[in-house]
Amino acid sequence: MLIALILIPLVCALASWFIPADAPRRLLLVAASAADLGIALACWVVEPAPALGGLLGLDPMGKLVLTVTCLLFFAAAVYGVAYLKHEETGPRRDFQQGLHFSNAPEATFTACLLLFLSAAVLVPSTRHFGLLWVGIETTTIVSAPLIYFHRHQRSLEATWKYLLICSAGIALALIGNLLLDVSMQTQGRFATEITVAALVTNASNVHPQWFKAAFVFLLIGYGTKMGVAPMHTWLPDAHSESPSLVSALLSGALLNCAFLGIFRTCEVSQAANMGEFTSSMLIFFGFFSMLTAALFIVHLGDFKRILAYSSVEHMGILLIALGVGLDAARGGILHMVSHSLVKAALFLLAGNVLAKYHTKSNHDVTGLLRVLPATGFFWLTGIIAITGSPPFSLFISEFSILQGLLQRGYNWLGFLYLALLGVIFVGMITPVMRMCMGKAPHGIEPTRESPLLVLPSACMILLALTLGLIMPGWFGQALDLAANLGFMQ
Amino acid sequence: MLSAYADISTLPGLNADSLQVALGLIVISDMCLLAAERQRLSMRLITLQGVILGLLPLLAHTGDLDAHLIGISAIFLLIKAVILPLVLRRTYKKLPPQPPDKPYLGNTLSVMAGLSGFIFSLWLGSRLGVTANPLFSLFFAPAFATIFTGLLLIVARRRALSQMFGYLVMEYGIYLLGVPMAQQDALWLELSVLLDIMVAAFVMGIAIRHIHLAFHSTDVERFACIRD
Repeated sequence: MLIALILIPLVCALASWFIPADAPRRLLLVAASAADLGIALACWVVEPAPALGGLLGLDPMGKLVLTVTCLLFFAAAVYGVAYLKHEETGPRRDFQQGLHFSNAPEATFTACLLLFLSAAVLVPSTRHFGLLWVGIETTTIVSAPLIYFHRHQRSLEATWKYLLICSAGIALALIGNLLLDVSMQTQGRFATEITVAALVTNASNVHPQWFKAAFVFLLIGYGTKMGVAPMHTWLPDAHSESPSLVSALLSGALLNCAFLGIFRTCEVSQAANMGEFTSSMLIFFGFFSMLTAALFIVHLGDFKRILAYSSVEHMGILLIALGVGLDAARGGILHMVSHSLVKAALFLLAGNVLAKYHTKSNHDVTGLLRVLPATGFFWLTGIIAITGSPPFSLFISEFSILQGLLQRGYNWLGFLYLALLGVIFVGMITPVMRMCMGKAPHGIEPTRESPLLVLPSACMILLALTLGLIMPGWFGQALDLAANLGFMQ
Repeated sequence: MLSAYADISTLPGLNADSLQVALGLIVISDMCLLAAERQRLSMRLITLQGVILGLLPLLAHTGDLDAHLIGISAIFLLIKAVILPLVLRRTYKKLPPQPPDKPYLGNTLSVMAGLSGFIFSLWLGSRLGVTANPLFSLFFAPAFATIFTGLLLIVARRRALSQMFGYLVMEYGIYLLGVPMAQQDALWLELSVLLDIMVAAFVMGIAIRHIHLAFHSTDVERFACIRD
């Protein structure tokens, strides 16, 4: 089951290079992501057997991340059918710089998307630190050509920054993996492999200094990939210059993969009684990310960059939840799921706005509710959701994390958390209201929207709303089971 | 400071002299890389490091050599000493002749920073404590100095190709750190990591060629299209 999950998109990726026609290739993309989503959902009914001698195996956290990843890929694939159909082929003028550019071959784009899916499902399917690293590094390599789909200077600049910063960051995580292994062999070789299970079992033998060094490298390494400030510099560029469906996947799926790397390390630190050390570092980087995002969001004039900085903010919130521990556990995991759903939906909708208005400036977009009524409605709803407003699930999760902070006695941090959320709320809502209301600019007429370009986002936002209104018992239980693995007692 | 290091002479069958010479050569080549302005010289130094690193699993091996170890070492040597330098050479050849790439810090300061990195690595290794594996303690400082050299090349050079050199040198340092930890049953993992790095280098090579076509230069200072 788990091997099929990785192999299906891999084989389809290779096949897509040999399919000359665009339409069957797009169908293959949808079919492969639907197959993976089907398998991921089946994992909730039938417990998948460990594979490859225990290298692949799903735990509650892996199951959640896997399901969210497959769901986002399916939504992006459905959106991608209409998106790629509407993409002009051949050289055309870049609306920002006025230079001419063309797209990368669609076959390469589709193949890289499927390779990305294959690598992204490998990450939650393993509890081996080495294989997890291989999965995350592979996502970097195969997603770089996706960012450079529109072959202009800005996307190339973003691709280079992404490749170099993330590769160097991930290399630091590799050092962390090696030091983790060293921390287990100070008086002899206690853990013979670097799986979470082996390290947790032998956690009492861990050498504290080496473990602390390992944690720092893993946090900075995976934190770079996760977009944690101050290592976030690649994120706004890559997210704003990618095609919208790629931005959706980078923000919704890729960041979770990197978060999983840090989460797995916290599982070991909890077993090794290193929670105090890791907690303070997580909270520090969490607040620093929120502060950085707040400072940039209030003055940005590019709506895709606003969404990108919002991802920096939410990754900060995730780290704070992990640092606070079990008091914010359910909220933390719910936040990860909800952010993925809503942010991916918003990036997909941003693609519709960009395609219609040919600008990323939020000052030049007005009358969105008249020009693109469905996109405008869900864009406004999505922004309300992502800023943590009730009744969406992000409100529940952010409130639960605040409760966790207060229960731990971090009253000042709770106040700072609320203040930063308030600043970001104002910074995001103000330009979005201006975009949605008013008259359309001259020459922009209302058009009929393709259902394929709106439905995936609508479904994900409605899912976030449903989770905010009714939390099914089995889902709450799944959140608790996942949270209990890595959240400090 | 150095008393914190375990005695490697106790390891049976280990060619300690050759190992120390190899590690010394790695550190010297790190300093040369930091001083090098010409990219052709940097490529030769990286190839030299690749050859030494490819041979290290054999030098660091204690006990009898078996066919499996020789086979795996041959693959590592092929990737590090042949394929990766070829990827670099191919990228270099596709670009027009480049003027020397002077570091932002200047040559003297770069080498001084590299030396400071090596001394810091020695201090850090002694602070973190002795591990059960004496080889790890021996490899720690040269490995961290190489990682630091790679990072310096990434942040202190103007050209994209030099930054790619930095990435490879950094990966070589990590590989060096991993050599004493290598276990026969986990070599698949090292091979996967190496293949990932090889593909990353290949993708970077393609990106550099596109950068040259789009910007008519590989100077990263020209990257000013995206602003907040």
